[in-house]
Amino acid sequence: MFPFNLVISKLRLRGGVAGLKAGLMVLLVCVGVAFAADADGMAVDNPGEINAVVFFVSFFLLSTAIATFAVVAGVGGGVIFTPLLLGFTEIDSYIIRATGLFVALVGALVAARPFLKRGIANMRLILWSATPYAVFCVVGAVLAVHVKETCGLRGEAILRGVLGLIVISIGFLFLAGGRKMAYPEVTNVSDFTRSLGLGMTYWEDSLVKTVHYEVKRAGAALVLFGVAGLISGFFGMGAGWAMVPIFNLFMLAPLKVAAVCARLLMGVGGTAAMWSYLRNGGLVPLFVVPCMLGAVVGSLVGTRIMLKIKAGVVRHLVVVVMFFAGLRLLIKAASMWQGC
Amino acid sequence: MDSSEHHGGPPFHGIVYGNIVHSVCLAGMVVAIIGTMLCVVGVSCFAENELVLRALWSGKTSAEIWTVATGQPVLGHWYLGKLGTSDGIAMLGMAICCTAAVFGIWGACLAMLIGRRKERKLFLILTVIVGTILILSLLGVVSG
Repeated sequence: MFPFNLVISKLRLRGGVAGLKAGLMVLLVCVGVAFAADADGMAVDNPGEINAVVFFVSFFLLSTAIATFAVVAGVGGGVIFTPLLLGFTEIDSYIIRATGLFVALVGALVAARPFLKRGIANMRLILWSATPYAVFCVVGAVLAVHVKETCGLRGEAILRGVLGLIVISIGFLFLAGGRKMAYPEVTNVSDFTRSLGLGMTYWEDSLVKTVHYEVKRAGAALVLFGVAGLISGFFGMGAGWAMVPIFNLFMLAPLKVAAVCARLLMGVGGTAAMWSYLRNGGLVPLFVVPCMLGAVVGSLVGTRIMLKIKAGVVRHLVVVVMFFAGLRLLIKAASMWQGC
Repeated sequence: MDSSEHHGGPPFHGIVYGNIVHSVCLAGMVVAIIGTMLCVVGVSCFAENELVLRALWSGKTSAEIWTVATGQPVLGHWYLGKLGTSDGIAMLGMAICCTAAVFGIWGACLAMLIGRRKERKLFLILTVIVGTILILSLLGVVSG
């Protein structure tokens, strides 16, 4: 069995920076190998002998590196995982999206308990947003099946192209820093939103006091959650990059509450979409499980490293990776379109 | 304004939801890992590893991969009939992970009904709607 404790203790002993460098090396090597294999045409025509153990360990390490970086940079792993694999491997996009969604889903489900126990997660807000999010997640997943079955290579090209544009846009969003408000001031709440009673009170450790908050624009937010669900279900990405701003900047929930609610919402909506992928054979255990395991280990390692390093540097690095993956997706989409 | 809006403590149904999804998901992960480990070392595989990985890496679609590796496309909850195989166990584990929120939402719904602090009817109805979407999705009624 992989010596997780040993790895973590080594990281602790040598400092977070060393661990981060190691993670970066693994990520770059894996991406480089995939890129080189693809460039040679080797991946398509002659995959050669593939050993299950080597495959398992490779994807475990890649997924660990991605999750580590994602946690340190404060972004969702799915937003890097899906574009990277779609851009740099020949693995079918439906399988990659199913795997990306599953990994994001498991992360969200496992993280739910502590947030709900401490009262930071607002169940009312989650239930309010879960209805449109779950419905459109399912619609997105059904559309993904439809595209897979009817649109052929042209559909794949459009899918990768649109995803490339989305990833580059998210990269710009991260680069701009995305205006965030820790404790937004909420005034002029409409009667409708007030009548829903979505405001809550929670204990804030950093302030050593209880924080009460209200939210705004509950009705209009339903549309935005629907759009986020559609993208999440179709492209197989966690939609934290969209949901946190909706909660925080549009509904004016405190940043911490927004981040937690977005994560838990993924657990509900992702489940609705996941069944479509599972029932249509999109989950391949030999591929999904090492990625899932890597995401869990990467989250643990990333959480430890983030306490010791400046996240800003890593955040910029992740943005570079996203631009790179986005451009690669656009190039791949263009070549697929020409081949139709 | 009801009593649950301005207290510091978390709502009971939230705690129930959190506990259920956490436990069920962890259990599913363990089953999936055990199944995959057995599959990796070649114990009672439904699909041949080499064929699956070769097809996967060369960009074959999911239907093509399963057809190449098992002789038939797999659809629906195929693993339920293959629980004697390592891939079947791994898929069962992943399916258990996916049921976590289904159990969690219905558990939260029950907690709203029996909890001492009553939740507003609106949120009970929303819980039932979300729970129904998840059940219909699981059964394949709305998930294609």
